[in-house]
Amino acid sequence: MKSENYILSIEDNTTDIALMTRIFERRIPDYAIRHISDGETAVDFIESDAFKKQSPKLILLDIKVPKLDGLEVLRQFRKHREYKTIPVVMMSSSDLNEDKEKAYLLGANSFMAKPKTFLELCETLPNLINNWII
Amino acid sequence: MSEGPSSLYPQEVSLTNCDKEPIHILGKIQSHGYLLACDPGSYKITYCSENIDQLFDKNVEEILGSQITDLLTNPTAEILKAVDSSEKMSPVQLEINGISYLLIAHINEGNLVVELEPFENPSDPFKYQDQLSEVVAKLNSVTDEQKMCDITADLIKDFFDYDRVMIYRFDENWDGVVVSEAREEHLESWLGLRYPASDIPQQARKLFLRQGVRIIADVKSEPVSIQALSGDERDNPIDLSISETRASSPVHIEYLENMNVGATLTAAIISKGNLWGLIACHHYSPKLVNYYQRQSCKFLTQVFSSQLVLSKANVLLRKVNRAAVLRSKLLEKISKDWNIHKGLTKGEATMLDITEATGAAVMLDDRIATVGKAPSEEDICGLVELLKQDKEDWIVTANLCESHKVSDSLKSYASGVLCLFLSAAKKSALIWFKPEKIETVTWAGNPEKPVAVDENQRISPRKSFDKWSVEQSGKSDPWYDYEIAAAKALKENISEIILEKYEEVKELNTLLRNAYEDLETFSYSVAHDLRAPLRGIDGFAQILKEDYFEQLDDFGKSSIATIINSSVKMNQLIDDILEFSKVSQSEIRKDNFSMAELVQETVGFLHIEQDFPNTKITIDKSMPQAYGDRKMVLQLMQNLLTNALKYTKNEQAPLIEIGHTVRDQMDYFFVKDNGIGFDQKHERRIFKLFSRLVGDEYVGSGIGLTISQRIVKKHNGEIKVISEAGKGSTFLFNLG
Repeated sequence: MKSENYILSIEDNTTDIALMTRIFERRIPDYAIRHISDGETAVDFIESDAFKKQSPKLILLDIKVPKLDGLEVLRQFRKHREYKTIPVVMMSSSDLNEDKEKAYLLGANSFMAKPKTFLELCETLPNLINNWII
Repeated sequence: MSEGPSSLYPQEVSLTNCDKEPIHILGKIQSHGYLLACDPGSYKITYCSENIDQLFDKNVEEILGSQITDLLTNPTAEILKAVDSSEKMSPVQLEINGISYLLIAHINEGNLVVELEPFENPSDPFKYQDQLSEVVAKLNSVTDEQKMCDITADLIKDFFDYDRVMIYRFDENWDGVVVSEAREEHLESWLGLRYPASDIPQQARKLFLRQGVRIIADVKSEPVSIQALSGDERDNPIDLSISETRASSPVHIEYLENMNVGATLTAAIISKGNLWGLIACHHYSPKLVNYYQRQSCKFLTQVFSSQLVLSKANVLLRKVNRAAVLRSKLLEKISKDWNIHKGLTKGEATMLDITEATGAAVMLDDRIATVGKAPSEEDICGLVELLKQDKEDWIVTANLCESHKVSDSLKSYASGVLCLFLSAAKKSALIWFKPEKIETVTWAGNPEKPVAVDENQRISPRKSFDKWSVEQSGKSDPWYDYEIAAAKALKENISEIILEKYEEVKELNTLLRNAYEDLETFSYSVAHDLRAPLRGIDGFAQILKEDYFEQLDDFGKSSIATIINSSVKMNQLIDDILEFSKVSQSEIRKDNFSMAELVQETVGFLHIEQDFPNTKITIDKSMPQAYGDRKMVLQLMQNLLTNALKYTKNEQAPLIEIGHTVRDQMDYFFVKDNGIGFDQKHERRIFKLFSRLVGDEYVGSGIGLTISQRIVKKHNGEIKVISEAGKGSTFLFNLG
């Protein structure tokens, strides 16, 4: 795989995946976005050599993904001390805060509710890149 | 009137004086009889009637102190030795100077009392027995109380041939009514006449109860005095309680004379040990029925009494049974649909049928249902309020106006009331009504004047027996024990049903609350889950707009705009729904805070100065402190202000005032605007979920005011609105 700057998105909602892909294409050309749609595959990928060789610059992790939920994926990922500088932003479709504390304890760097509209998402994604990738 | 010892007569006359006359020790016998009394051990004669010398060749002085066994020869003397109790021995027939007499002896209060009375027409005792058994058979054939009385009156008249035979019945006040009568045709009827209790005083009733039958053979003849042996006996007049020939009280004689009665026969009708009434026979000339006949009369009266008791018991038993059957029918009906109101008052069997009432009502859950002739609901409510004051949980009266001082308007339907409260709270009740029974009571003479007083301060009974009619009002028929028992049993059943129903409702409530909570959680998550697809709709509409806008015609362009606008609205709606369920679910945390500061904060937060530069806002800085959940109240104020801003935006000079006021002695904060307002009749609707009074020119989901109301309710406060279309609205609220 060609060396590239990419963002890893762990997200199962195909609409959201399509919207994010589109936003990256049009507005964030410097970064690619790669999607994984369930927790198990995400953990497999994190443990793989491919991941070691080419780590993402930022992980967007939906808290509710199938097979293994987002918090579990986060826990597994943070076991890897070597990746501690990779920021993880937890995405929640709920604005209830019950999982927020857990996420921070497990090593999330940020916790955010998914934007309600496309235009908000268009603003949010570049902001995340600017804030978390140095 | 004879010269009696004046000390025996009451000195001061009152209605009850007659009660004190010691009629059993008057010391006289009737003139047809003869009396001797001796010590039952020594047979020494201690008392004798003054007329005794008519029978024996000795005068009174010779007889007193002599041996009775010397006076009465064998075998009579031997028979006397067998007398040992107040049970009278069988009379002995004997002949003295060619005349037949009956000798009747008994022991009373330490005296052996021997009485003799002429025995003129000895008849065949077997023939008597035949007649008697015929009579008994006749009585057995009827069950109706009135018929029984009529038959008995006729029989006694036939049997003893008195001019008038009356069956006289006592009521609960010992007033007596003539319930049946058999008389010679030329006599005026006394049927239905009522006699005050004082006419047959208490001690006379007591003697009747003891003796059973009693005659006065000749009202006009002078009674004969009894002489005593010595001072001892003179100081202790002989007790003639069960004597056959005892003279009547002068007052009673005078009473009979006033009625022109010449002779009487009276038998006590005893029901369950109580004096039920009397069989009173009047003859208008002297008349003596002999001892055997009197015993027959006593026997007849006993048969009559027991028939009476039996038939009453039977009638009662039938009524009790009927009430029980109907009660179970009612319960069966109620258990079908648990509708107590309907079950008790509608359909074939109702609560009315378990009693003899004419109207009934059930008051339960603040609702009244009636059956039959019942007062208006308003009157029933008033009545129940009144009856609640009583200590008892059930009230029975046959004269409501008198017992509870209610207005006369109730008495036509409810002179009689039987009310049973279903619980200690006395909020629900079963009530039965009996109407006023206007009864004309005909007294035999003015009952207010049963006695007259003569110049010697002596009682003399009434002179006038002219009928005296009084209309009695305000009273209903009495309530019978079986009715009260049936009502109480029904009350118990209904209480049980209510309890069961209450448990059921409680369970349902829990289910409902759970369902409601589920529903709120559900709507929360539904609202939530709508976000993602909506983001898709909005997102792809935006993408279409970015990439293909120029290729679209005008309709295509406006369609995309519509999709995007709609998704904005839908997002707003989702926001509101989420907000609403958050308010519902969140715990309330109360604190003191400054309302003025909170309003100021809200105004700043809403960017009013920038976004609504024309709108003037006045805040009353002297508003009192508020006590409540500040975060919630902030949301409340934000809703009310947003509302005010929204509906004043088209005004020339929008004005919003926030302050504090007192209305009906309650404190309120208010938010007042001069916007479009609305018709006051929509007040309730305006707080309803999703309800909107305006069209699309004013954006909103119709949830804001519902949230506001929720917040106020969580504080146990009150929110209301005063509005007029075109003039503006004022929202008033407090935090409880």
